[in-house]
Amino acid sequence: MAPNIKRSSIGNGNRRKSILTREERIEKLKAARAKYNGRPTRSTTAAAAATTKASTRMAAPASKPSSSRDQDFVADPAALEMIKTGNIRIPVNRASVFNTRPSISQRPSIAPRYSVAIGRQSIVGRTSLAMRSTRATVNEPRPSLFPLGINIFEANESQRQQVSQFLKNQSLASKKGDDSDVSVSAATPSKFNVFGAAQMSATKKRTTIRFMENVIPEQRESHDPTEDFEKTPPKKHSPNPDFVPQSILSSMKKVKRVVNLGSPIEGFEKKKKVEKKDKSMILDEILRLAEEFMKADGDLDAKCMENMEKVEKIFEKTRQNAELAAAMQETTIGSDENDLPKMHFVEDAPKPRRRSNRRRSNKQEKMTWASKHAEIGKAKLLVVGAGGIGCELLKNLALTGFRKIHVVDLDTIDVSNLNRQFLFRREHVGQPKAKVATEAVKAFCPEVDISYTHDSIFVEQFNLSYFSSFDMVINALDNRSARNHVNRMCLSARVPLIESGSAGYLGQVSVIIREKTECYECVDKPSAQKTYPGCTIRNTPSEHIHCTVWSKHLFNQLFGEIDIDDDVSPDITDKDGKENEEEPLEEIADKSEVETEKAPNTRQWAESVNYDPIQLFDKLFHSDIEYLCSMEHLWKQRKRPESMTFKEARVTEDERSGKEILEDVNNVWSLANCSTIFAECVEKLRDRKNALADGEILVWDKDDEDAMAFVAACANIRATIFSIQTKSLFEIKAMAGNIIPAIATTNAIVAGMMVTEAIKLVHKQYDKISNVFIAGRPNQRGKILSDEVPQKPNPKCYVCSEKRECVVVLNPAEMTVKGLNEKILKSTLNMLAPDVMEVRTNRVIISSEEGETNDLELKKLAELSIEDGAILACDDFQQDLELKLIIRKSETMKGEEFEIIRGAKEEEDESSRKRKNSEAENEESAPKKARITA
Amino acid sequence: MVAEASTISKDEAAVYDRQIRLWGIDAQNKLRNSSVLVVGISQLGAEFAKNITLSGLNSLTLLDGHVITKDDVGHNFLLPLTPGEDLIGKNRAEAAYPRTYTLNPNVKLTAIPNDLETELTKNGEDWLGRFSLVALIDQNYDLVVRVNAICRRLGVRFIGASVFGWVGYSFFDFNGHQFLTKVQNKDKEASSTMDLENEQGDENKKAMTMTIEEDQFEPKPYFYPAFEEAFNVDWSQKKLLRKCKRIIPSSYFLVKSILRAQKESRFTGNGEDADLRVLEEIWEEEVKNGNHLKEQQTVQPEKFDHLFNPQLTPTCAVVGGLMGQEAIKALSEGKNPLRNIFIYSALDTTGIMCDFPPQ
Repeated sequence: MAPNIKRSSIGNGNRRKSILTREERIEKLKAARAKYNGRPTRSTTAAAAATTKASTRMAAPASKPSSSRDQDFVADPAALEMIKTGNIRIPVNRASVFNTRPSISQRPSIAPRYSVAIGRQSIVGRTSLAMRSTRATVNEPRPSLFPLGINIFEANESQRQQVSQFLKNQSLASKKGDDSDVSVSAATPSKFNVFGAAQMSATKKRTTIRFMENVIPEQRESHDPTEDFEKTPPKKHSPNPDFVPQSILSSMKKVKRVVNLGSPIEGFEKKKKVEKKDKSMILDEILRLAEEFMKADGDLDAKCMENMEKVEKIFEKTRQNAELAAAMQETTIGSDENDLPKMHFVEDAPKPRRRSNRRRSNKQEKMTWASKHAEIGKAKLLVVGAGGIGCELLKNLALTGFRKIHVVDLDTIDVSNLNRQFLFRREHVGQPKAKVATEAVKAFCPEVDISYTHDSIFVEQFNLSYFSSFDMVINALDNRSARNHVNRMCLSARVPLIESGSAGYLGQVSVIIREKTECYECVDKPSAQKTYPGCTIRNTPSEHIHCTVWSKHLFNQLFGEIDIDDDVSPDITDKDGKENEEEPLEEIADKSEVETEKAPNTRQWAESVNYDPIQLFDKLFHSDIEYLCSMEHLWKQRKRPESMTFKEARVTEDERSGKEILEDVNNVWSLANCSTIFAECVEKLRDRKNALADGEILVWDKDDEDAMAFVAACANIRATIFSIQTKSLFEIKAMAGNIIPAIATTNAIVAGMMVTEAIKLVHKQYDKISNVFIAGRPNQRGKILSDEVPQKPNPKCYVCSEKRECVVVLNPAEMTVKGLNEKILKSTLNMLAPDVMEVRTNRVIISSEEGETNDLELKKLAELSIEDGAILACDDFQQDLELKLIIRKSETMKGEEFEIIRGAKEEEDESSRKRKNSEAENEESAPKKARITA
Repeated sequence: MVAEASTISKDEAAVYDRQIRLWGIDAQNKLRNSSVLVVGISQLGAEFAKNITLSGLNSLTLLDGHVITKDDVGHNFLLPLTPGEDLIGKNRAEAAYPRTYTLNPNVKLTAIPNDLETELTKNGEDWLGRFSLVALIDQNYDLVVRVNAICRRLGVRFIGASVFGWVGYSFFDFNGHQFLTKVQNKDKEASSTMDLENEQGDENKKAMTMTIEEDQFEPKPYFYPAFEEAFNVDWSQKKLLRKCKRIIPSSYFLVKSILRAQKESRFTGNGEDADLRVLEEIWEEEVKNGNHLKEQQTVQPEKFDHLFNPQLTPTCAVVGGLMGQEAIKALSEGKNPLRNIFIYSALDTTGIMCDFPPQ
């Protein structure tokens, strides 16, 4: 069995001596690490029992096993007291025991990854995998101090006995016969864990899981530390039997969830029924044991030891079974469909079992190429997205012979989907895409076992163990953040990913296999949403899109969420054309300070006049424009805008009613029409806003008729003022809503090519995989589908490389912690729930735990002494992603502006990009267009 | 534009919104006035019928004399399996009707449960003149040649396509039909990337370059060779000899060999060993005729079993998608038609457009 390392199992005997200071300990660890120089082989382990064993063994190298075995230890009296009373509170600087987070800080590098053996196969951390070839020991300094001065989770047998004995003695001496004393023996970490989880609500699930990983190995005998290093990893897809037991033990609460969640996931496997039965027995047994822990009084130590032994036996048995099953799986062809999970299955789907059997036997009679591809039917696929590409894809997969498919999609069906998402019909509008698509596929291919989840791929249910239960993940997504997320999950879970995208006539397919190919985030993608300099939007629009963007900002300023970066009034600090040629960054920025003191913001002003359309019109399109005109330097080389009042706008031509105008989607409205719509929409939106509860705001949406018409009217009025050609509602909707045209044929081709790649992955023909693009025109050799060998991973990628770091340029005096979290980590780097720690001080500045760091949110980074050169360790547990953020100070940046630069060393890297915070992408985002057109 | 815009209902506009944003309302209205005949509702036929129906035609006619066998069921998404109903023995066009109809109820749909030969005898060849486009899918060589000739005579757009296992082709003959063509003198850099962007971002571009003139396009007729001519090029001509390596893709020989075997009726029809040997023999000849080296071919004879039924779904999807796109382009008189033979091979993941005989 291959060795496997867990982050929390990074043991070292040094910790036994509580007399060592932390610094000393770190030094020792560094020395030990240097000695082993690297990390050990990591693998996707089949048998978790082996995994756990391995981690025990991994602990050993760091320590010098013989040296301190007989040494006495000194218990921390305060800690002892806590344990006795069952009221365990963790001193802040020791939180590491209960929370994995601080461990980041303790490591010189945040690179090392860990594995969480909670899935069918253990999910292993990135770096250690990446470093598989270098074979080193994880000896990162992780001084997770246990109050007793000995880390029971990492202690060996004799240590535990010592602790146990010590505690017993203590207990007997001080409180003889006190039954209610829930003293936690060092030998019974699992008990501790159960109680701990129950008592400390703040303790995170992940911590608990970690605990268990440590606990279990400790129940085993010691091993030769070197034994595991050379072993090769076992077969990738063999089941991991400890999935259930580990999670089960982690907490009583967790038990129930695992039982619910575990079976569908697990059920995807073709398993012998025997094994399944075994598993449920194990579940029962462990549940019972866990309950005993909870209820038991009296001599808990003995009882726990006894029970732990039992559990251990169960593990061993499960492992053996799993190995057996894995071996059998190799030779078994075909699967028992009854054994598959029945999660969200379509109830009324026909089940022509007899017919399908007949058909199958018929196929066997006639030998075709299909008989060489029997593996296709065995692969378990996760399809993310059931939209344009998704519909085509599901159809292709089912007809190609894929038999085990799970679809995840959050969306519901819209009328505008029907021109290409052919599994949906008009009567399905409003229903979940995943559900309808699943039913439709079943209708023409009842043989396929297809299930679905109508939910976001971001939800916790789809964790690493979930991803790793599939042979392949296929993306048919329409937005970058979900793509980034699935990319990260697949990298962590070591599952091949097929990525796709389409826009208009263009489309592409790429295959992502960890360590073999570029990952989705290895290269910068051109921003899907173009951003424009603030001064252009506010002062000097030259294209219609500038007016459209301004109008959307106006909507938010009046009715929606106010973003200080999106002001709409004239920017008086605009130095454009003035003597000093400042870099554009500065120009965009100047805003709040000057204005807030100068005048009330647009919202306040509008409220003060109760959103009177005429006054509003005259302010926006007359006085503000007049003000702009007075900024002479702006108009030296530009045409001066012509302000207009509401009255002036209405002097021109026809007087159609608002309703008539709105029907006229395809023609350009006259100025009078625009003013009519403006007035009507302002009133409607005001009433809608007033009807909302306090604190609620309107959200702009292209499909909201009032909101869309308001933007179209404003944009055209402003365009007229600036002598820009006006546009129809239809056209403005495309710009404002960032609508990417989509057609059935492109999606059909893309989905076809995806399945061609999927077949290669099924046969593990990794040398044959290709990334394919639909070119607009054939190349010289006539290639219209241009294929290329996937690029090697980018060694500087902040997601899939060992060096997961990037430089962020910002102004620490202006950027708030909240801005860092929301705009940089979440919106731009696509983390879900990051934990962030300043490396030098170990201070946690952002916590994924609700409310833990609320007090810091509005602080500027500079107030927390995060200045130039500061390093922030950002850890997203759900994505299994750790990222080092290096702060580079820019004094010229204003507000929450920032720039992200890939790769720590080369700041001038050409791939650097500027990112002003931009509107979230919606609709089908463009694929790597730069590469297609290149 | 104003007048035509009213021809499409608000309802239809909502359904077709995303494609109108790509090819414009003019093109959509032209599609709305088109009638298409699809002959052969095989898996590839289903793909094509789906793509073209979704685009929003005036009418679609499914014609197929084929009686459904076990091999069709579960391999064709237009053939639904309703409990208690056995499709086997039914006519394929009729069985595909209900599902095709639901794809887009705006399209007038007809199913004719007959062979095309029968229909031509019954109605006369000029019957095809009522269609804007005729697509023959997985039909035999002689019929393709014959119908292609009729369509050329009647001025009807023609597509012939087949999928052989993992490899498929489609042949386009839009002889004399118009496509939007860039007016030459305007733009010097007529690179393909530019064209692409134009198609995508017409609107943005217009706004961006108010002072610069937009690319000008005007309808211009294109001329296409007939099927026989396209597939029977004499590669030994001097002017072609040196070009062969570059312009003939390896996958072409696979398609050409099967077409020849069909033409010469040399297959038993079961994909058995005898057929494989016949194919190998013809293939060797064709490779030689095309001035290629046998050893350098990406697909070697040991894979030839992959050139027989069943049709591989991804190949059907890709070929059906591309031919659907070209059909839409032809019917809507769009830009940049691709010419004139497309071959997709899932065996070596190539999708290549040929222009045969070479210009």
